[in-house]
Amino acid sequence: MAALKGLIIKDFQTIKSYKTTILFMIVLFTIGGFLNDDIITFIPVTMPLCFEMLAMSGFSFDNLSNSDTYIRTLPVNKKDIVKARYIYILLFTLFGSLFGLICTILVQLLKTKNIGTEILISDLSITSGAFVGIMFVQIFQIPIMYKFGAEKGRIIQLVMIIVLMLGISLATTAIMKIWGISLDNLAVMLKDYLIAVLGIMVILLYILSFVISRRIYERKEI
Amino acid sequence: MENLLEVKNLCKKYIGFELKNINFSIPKGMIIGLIGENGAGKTTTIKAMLNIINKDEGEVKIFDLDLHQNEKQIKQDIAVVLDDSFLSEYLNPKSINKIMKNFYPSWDEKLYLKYLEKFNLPINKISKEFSNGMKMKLKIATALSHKPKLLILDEPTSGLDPVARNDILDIFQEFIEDGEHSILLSSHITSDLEHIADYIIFINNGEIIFKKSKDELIENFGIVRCDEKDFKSFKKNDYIKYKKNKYEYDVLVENKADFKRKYSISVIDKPTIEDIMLIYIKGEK
Repeated sequence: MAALKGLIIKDFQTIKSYKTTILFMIVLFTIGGFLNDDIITFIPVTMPLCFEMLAMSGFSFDNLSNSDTYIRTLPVNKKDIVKARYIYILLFTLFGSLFGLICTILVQLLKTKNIGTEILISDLSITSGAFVGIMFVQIFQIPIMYKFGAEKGRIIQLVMIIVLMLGISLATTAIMKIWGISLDNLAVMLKDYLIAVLGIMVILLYILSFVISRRIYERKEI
Repeated sequence: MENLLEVKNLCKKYIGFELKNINFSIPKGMIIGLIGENGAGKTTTIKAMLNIINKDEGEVKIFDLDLHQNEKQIKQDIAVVLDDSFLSEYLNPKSINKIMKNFYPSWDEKLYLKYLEKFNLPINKISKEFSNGMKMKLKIATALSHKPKLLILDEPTSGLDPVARNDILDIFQEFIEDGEHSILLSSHITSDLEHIADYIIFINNGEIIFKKSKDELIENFGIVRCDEKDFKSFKKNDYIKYKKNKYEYDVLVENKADFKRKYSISVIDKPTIEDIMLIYIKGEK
């Protein structure tokens, strides 16, 4: 457990060199949101997205200093190394979501002085939706990074995101056509269960993604 | 003599390179030097024996325990310094302290700070801004601060100036003084090993060529420098290898006293480890 903590601290300490960038990002989003209403809606999505991209740079930091080899000399097993990276990425994205939510609420409060429960619920829904969405992307992104490394992985994950989006949209259209469901009907059908179904699905896939990454890493020659 | 490390029949195959049946041990209180040219298999040996890369065959025992089955426990008591790999260069020594104390219950913060001071390493500066020598000193300070029993170093003195090299070699010497600790030191700077190593393992083309005590190598081995006529009088079995120079032959012999007696040669030079390595690699038989 202490070794796992050490690995997570290592990633957090490394990203500390980006603390000015992170602070600048938060201030920029807050000011942007204050000046333009449209930007407020994007904060809960773009802020965690920026944080997640920073978290993924942990692979590049390791690559730059060839840290993987050194880490394998420490009293940790390969499973812990992969587990720590998943926890770190998830935590850092979660921080991004929390900062995004706080910024959004702050801007809304500054602008309207008083925000109702409905707006708060909407903010929370967008934030959690964005978080689950980013987790979904990570399910594919992290094993790709382990398989191809930080350099190649970056290009492959871009292609992967485009293919994934296209695939999901084509599959949804095809299923709706076959079953004769319209988009409105689908939204009504899934309304009550959507978050729960997606949440459970993403958690299960996230665990599967970890198992795949672990296997890739265990077999990887460095 | 009790061994801290035992490597038996270690094999690893890559396309174009093969580590073949590596066998050696490291007794307590000894410094073992691993020598060989670049690409000979020194780093692959270290990586395969530490399970950094997956070995194809072989057995590695450290502190009498099988490394594969007790990896975490064993690695608590060893420290590894690699020439080309460490924690991110965006970390400063202060952050490294925060990280490392989680890995080792025996991490001694005071000792770490003492080494940083001794090596003149600024605690708040990221290591990216350090010189190569400072980076190596930071790796060594980190390695020594959890008081390991076994220190494994891959090219630790490359990039260091002669004064820093000497300081570090003194630290290594201190490390083994109590007879309980050992060092495996891979280096192509053979003069460092002549300074401190007790045994030399010479690896070439993925194979161990010899394992001998340093004193035996320097005292018993010899280089006969002779002309072609003398060289042709030597029986092949009486020398290891020879190197033909412009005007003379350098002939490496394993036992200079015997050779002297047999061929009535009055002068046989004492070789350096580098001489031995060079004739083994470049010489002919």
